[in-house]
Amino acid sequence: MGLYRTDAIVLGHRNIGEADRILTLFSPVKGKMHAVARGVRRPHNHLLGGTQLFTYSNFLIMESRTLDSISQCEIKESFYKIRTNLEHMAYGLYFAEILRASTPVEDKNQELFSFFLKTLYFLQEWRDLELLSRIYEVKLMAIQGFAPEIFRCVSCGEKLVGKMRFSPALGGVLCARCLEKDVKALDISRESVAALQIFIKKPYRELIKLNLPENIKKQLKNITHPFILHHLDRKLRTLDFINDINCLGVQTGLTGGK
Amino acid sequence: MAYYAEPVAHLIDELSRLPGIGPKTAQRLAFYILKMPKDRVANLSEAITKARESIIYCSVCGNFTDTDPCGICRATYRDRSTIMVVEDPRDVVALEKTRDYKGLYHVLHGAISPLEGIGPDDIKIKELLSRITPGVKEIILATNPDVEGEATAMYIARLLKPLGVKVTRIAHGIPVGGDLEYADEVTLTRALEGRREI
Repeated sequence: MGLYRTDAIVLGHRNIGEADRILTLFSPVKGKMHAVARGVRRPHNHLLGGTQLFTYSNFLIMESRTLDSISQCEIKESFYKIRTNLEHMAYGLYFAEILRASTPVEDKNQELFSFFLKTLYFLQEWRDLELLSRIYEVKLMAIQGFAPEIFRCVSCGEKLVGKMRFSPALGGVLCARCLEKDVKALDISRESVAALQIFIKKPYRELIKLNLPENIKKQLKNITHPFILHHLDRKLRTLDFINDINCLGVQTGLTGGK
Repeated sequence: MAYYAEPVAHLIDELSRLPGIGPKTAQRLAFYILKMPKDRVANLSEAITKARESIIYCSVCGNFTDTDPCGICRATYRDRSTIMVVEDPRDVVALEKTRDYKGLYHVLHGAISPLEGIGPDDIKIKELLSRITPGVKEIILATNPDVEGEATAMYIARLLKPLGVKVTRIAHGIPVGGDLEYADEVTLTRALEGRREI
């Protein structure tokens, strides 16, 4: 047992005791991990700023047989802008929840860490948050090893011709000849398949200016959500909050995350 | 083999269900209670039962009270045009200690926490909306300055915007007696944003 230093992003926290918190951290060297931050809910605590949700900090952690304990931390990037806008915060929480749900504890993945960090930087600037969500969902699932098969038929492996459908259970697009392989497969247009292919192939910086018609975005949402839920096998709590905010946006005449 | 007599085991079990009380602390408290004079034990148990039976939620602000409406909502000298929104009844106590605020309160009994599955319908936001009458001029959002508190404040502000009432947020910055050197960048940014002329 001893001290070690690691960079990490705060993905979540749970209050315990009088003033302590158990943090869920995502580190490039340890993957998803839990550590306790003692006294962090008191206003003068030196760990307070660096342990807020989404914050990217350098942590000095004391190893323990049960739960590691945070000794010091220094903020590298606070992602403050995410916390000052309701929509950005809601989508940030959604991204953190999918990452938490799809990642086992202490499973080191440098590529996933860099991807998530990049996502948070782009989340601060991105305007069409629904589109960013679709890109994030597809890219994340690809890094996690569940990339949807969108370049050929997921069943027969042949080129995609004619009418197509997307099967969340089989994890990809079914060609016209294989439609009966999954009766629950969802409608998908050629334009939506092309959009998914672009999401996988291109980096964020090239996708930030992408503009898709509303009907394509709606169809992509109807496809990616069942696909993710099929793999995670659990309900995502933050989706309800995003729906609440989008409804509020409609009621108050504000645009929300559209 | 049972380590304790059944009544002692039951007492330890009940005490360990309290927040922040682990099994060892529960055991220590239980043995302390056993050594206490009988009249003090009776007083303690009576105080717990009485508090639990007589304390209700104020039908106006949602704070804990023994009379409905609570003392603050009934007080005639308080400014009825200002409502301060807080997460917890303990926040009301903290703010009352300042002796600086003379308006009314609204206790949400929680904050929106999407990661924990706590949404706007799970806290007392609807009750706040029903209190917005033409006489109310300002709503002060005094939720905690963490992600959940900020989400709650922004959500309420968005909800109140069409009603035309002034919505303000409490300032954030360097705590009194704090040291600038140890303040993090977010706190310093907030402190700079909230600077005022002297």
